[in-house]
Amino acid sequence: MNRLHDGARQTMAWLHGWTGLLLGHVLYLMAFAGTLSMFRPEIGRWMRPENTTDVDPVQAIVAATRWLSRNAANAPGWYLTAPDARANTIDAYFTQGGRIAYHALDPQTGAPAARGTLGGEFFYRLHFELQLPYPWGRLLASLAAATMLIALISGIVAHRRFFRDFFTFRVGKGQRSWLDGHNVLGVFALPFHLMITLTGVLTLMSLSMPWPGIAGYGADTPAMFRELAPGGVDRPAAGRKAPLGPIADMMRGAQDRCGGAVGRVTIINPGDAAAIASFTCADAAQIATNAGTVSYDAVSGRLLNAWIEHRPAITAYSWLYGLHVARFAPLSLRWLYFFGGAMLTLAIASGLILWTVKRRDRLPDRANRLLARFNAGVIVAVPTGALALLWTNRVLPLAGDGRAAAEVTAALVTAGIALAVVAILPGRLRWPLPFAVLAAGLIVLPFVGGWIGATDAVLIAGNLMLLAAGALCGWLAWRSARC
Amino acid sequence: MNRHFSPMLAGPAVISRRERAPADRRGSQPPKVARLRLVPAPVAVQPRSFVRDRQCWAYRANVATRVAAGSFGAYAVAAALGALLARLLPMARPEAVMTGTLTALVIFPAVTIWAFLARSPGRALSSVVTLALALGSLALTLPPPA
Repeated sequence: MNRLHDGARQTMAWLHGWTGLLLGHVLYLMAFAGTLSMFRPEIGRWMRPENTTDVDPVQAIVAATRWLSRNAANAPGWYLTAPDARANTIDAYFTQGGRIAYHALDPQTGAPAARGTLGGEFFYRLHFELQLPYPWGRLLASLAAATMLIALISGIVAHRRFFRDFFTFRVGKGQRSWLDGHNVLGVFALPFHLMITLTGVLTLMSLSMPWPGIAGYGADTPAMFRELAPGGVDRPAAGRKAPLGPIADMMRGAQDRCGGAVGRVTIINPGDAAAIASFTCADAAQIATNAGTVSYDAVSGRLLNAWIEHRPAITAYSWLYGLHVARFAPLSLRWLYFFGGAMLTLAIASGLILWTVKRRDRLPDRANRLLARFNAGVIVAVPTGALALLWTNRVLPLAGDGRAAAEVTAALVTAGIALAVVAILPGRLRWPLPFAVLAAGLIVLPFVGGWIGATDAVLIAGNLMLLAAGALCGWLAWRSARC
Repeated sequence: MNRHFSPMLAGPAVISRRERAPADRRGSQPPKVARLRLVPAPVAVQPRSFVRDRQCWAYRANVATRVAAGSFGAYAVAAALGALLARLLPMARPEAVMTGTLTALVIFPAVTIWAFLARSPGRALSSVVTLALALGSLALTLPPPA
């Protein structure tokens, strides 16, 4: 008999440990960024406090296309997301200087917002692209998500006492406490953890699992995308210039066909006589994403194609995808997602710590001590980098071209420094010092830049969240400093 | 003899009972993990299987084989099954492709878990390879759906 252990449960516990460690640090970053992404538009509002007005989405899209016609006329496409009750800027992707770039457009002027920043888009992209070039970031994220799925399933099998552990937390007992904490965090939101991991793997499957598509379509990938999302129009540019037609009328027509709001607006070949305007029904109206697409001739405003999705397998996919990105979720559910994500982040962090604590006495070797240092470095570096992004957002002057990029650079550099510093700190300072620094940074930040008196509800809530996170870090610093 | 391995030689039944002891009497006494080291290791008792010895090449080969079966092998099975379903299912083409993709998502973790629980590493690897080859070649013999 060549089984790895006497019992299946032991094998699963062993597998849980190793798959958790393998890409645990990447998963920690993904869980952290994903949790923040639940409030992507709200973080954007906090990071662009000058934009306070709510505008009609149709007027906003008209303003955006007017500005883009003057300033990005040669781009092959504009990919816009209309503002809604949550976002008050237009998310825009278009090619500029040979590279596709993100801008948050002001809904009144259509020009990029006064404060150049990626806003919540940074955390959203970080969550599945990990700041790595395409497709490597997404592939690594897929791999990490797949190992997490294995770690979750093996963790569940290894676990014997769901109900009892739910109420078990023995404080101040070293390894036992870490295990209890890890179990409570894992068990409390277990359905959420399973759902978010399974659907998370699914979101990148067009990249990570192309074989069913290849079996069905061979090399004809455009045909596959056409049939998967049949509401678009595929036609080449005519080569003759023509101004955009009545975008407002087209968007209202699309709203009628969707039976509600429109989310994404795509203009292909803008400025050309064969330009196309495609409108996707808003994701907020139902769990499934991409519920329908309506396409017009962008010059004449003539309806070319309309598709409301009803096919069962595609709808199942969109529904699972929608469960992951949660754009359907009202505010209360969004907070549940947020806390579920926070618990997942902490479960990963405590699992990484548990790995070293468990081996501290039994196998006190150098590799384990190095891993303990690296764990602490990563666990601290990720929130420190995020905090640096927010600080730079408040401190940097408004003017300047590379402002958004400077924020990201500051975040990455700070995270790198935090990782290095925490990794070499002596054991007694390893947790208290960085948590004290984080607490100070979080508590002071709301008062920086003169936005503490703003009356915008999102700004107030954001500032309160920073203060609450600061208080939590302060408590952790105090708690870990106590012997 | 490494002090970590001496209790291992006491036989797995003894170990597992001792390791479980604190959990079973939860709350009544502090954890007894430390006592593990105090168990005198019987000199003559052989491990029940070579797999017990974590440093042994056979154990490492066992783990490596299962890792291969559970990662690349499981992916190959999921991909082959997804591709087969995409061609086999009597549905519209995008629906069959999507059903194949969704099935692959469920099959992949199941095969991975099984690879680590299979009776032997050879069985895990050979089953996974056979399954992937069978499903894959069946998918290749079918024509793509219209």
